Amino acid sequence: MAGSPQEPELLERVRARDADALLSLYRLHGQRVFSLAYRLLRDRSAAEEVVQDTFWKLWQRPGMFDPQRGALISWLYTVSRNLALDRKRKENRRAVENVMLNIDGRVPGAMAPEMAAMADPAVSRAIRSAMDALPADQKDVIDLAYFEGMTHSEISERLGAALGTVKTRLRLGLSKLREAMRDPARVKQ
Amino acid sequence: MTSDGRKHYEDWDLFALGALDGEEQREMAAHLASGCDDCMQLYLSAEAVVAGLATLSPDVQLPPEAETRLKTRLAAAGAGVTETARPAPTSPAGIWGFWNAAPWALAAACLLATIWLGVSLHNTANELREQQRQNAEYRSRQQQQQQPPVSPNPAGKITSAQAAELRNTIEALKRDLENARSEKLAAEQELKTAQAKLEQAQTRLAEMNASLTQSEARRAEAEQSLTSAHLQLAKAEADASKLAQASAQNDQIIALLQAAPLSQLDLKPVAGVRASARVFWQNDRGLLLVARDLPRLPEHGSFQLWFYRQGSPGVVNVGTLRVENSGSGLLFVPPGPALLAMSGALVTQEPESSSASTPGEEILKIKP
Repeated sequence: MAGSPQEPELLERVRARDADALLSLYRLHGQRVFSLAYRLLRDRSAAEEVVQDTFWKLWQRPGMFDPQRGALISWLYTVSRNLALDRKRKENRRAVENVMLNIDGRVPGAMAPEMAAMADPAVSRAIRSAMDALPADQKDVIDLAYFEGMTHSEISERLGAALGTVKTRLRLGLSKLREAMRDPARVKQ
Repeated sequence: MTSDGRKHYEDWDLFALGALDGEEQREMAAHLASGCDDCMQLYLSAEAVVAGLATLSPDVQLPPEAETRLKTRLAAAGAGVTETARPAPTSPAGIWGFWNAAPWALAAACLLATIWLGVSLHNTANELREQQRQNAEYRSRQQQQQQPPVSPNPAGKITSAQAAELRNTIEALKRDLENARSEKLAAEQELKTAQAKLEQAQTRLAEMNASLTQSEARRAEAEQSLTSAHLQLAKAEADASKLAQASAQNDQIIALLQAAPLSQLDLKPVAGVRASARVFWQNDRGLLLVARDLPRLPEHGSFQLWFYRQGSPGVVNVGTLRVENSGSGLLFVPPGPALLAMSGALVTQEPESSSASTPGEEILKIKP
């Protein structure tokens, strides 16, 4: 999760249409974006295309990413996940709601504390530990929602659990992950 | 939204996760777009938490040739790329301390790095050779299909921009091919599913047809039974009607016999006949003929009673006797003009095709 000190400068250069700067950002974050895309799609070729398309979006419309709003890696993760889930559901009925694009252009206030924490390498370890410590039912619903791109209704149907139960599990699990991000030192590792 | 137009962290967590169903997801996105700064902060926090989940993905090595493809794409789009060398991977900070503490490890690390670079270069060279082979195949296919070749520059060589464009086209074609394969597989699967459904439907149709045939057969049987029942009913009604007529006639006979005084006459048998008969009558109550020892009738034959009268015709048919196996016969003639005009009586034996106006063989008669 560590942000690179050169990142702001590289982003400036990308906005100035410097392709080498984009390649540098690709070398900084491409590996992690690829790992996520592969986890979502389980297909190396498709995952590689998602990585390409993610950085291509950054190249074509660098203004879509607002450094004041969060870390670049978070933006890359969100975009690549949406692209991967779109691809995954190509023949499916529900397109991923790309909320990030819907609210593009807004300039919020200060960066959220969780987003600021994304720059701390201890945070990813804390998230992993917190996830490991979650009860299996909470872990399962988060896994289905994030990595399989399922809605709570679909999860409810898949698990045969009530909709309210699925929502509660998701909320509880994510709430614990938020705490881990805010105070990684308190998470047992 | 809640009454104050806000939602809590948990709601925005689900929103950022994309776990809400379409309508709710769109409603919250619209709320964000409406400019609620408080909710925007909650959403950004949720977005960060959700993005943190990405770190749970296990590390998978990104293929080095992927960077080459990105460069190609950038070049094809007209972006100048000057970098060619891929920088060495970033080393964890802790390793530096290790190097200071153990200089011999530096040599080992250098050796390992050299091996790694050699393997990487070897792989990259192989991938480039593979890329060139694919490009050559593509060009060959293009020529076979007699499509216009890529325009060379005046010197007869393909420019780097054209080469990049060509590589880009190849990549796009590969992607299209992969997509087409996926779509073909999906279509085949859908076809199989549709075929299975069709077979199920055909089986069901055959079952329904069989059931329909059985139903039609049962309906025909039922109609036959109904017709038979109608016939039986008609017969029973006819029998009942006959019984009613007989009963009414019996009542008339009883009324006649109870009346007094009754006129009576004996009919005399013709020569060679042993039978005898007597008529009792009263003009307003009818006439009763009672016969005994009647000869045996041929099949379909009958005994007929005729009245003699004045005028023409001189004889009229008034009815057929009811004959018992013992040779007794009976006939009741209701009151009416025939009885009032009667001047004598005649019993004849009639064949099946007897005439209603011409008497047959005479058996008994009385002519006043």
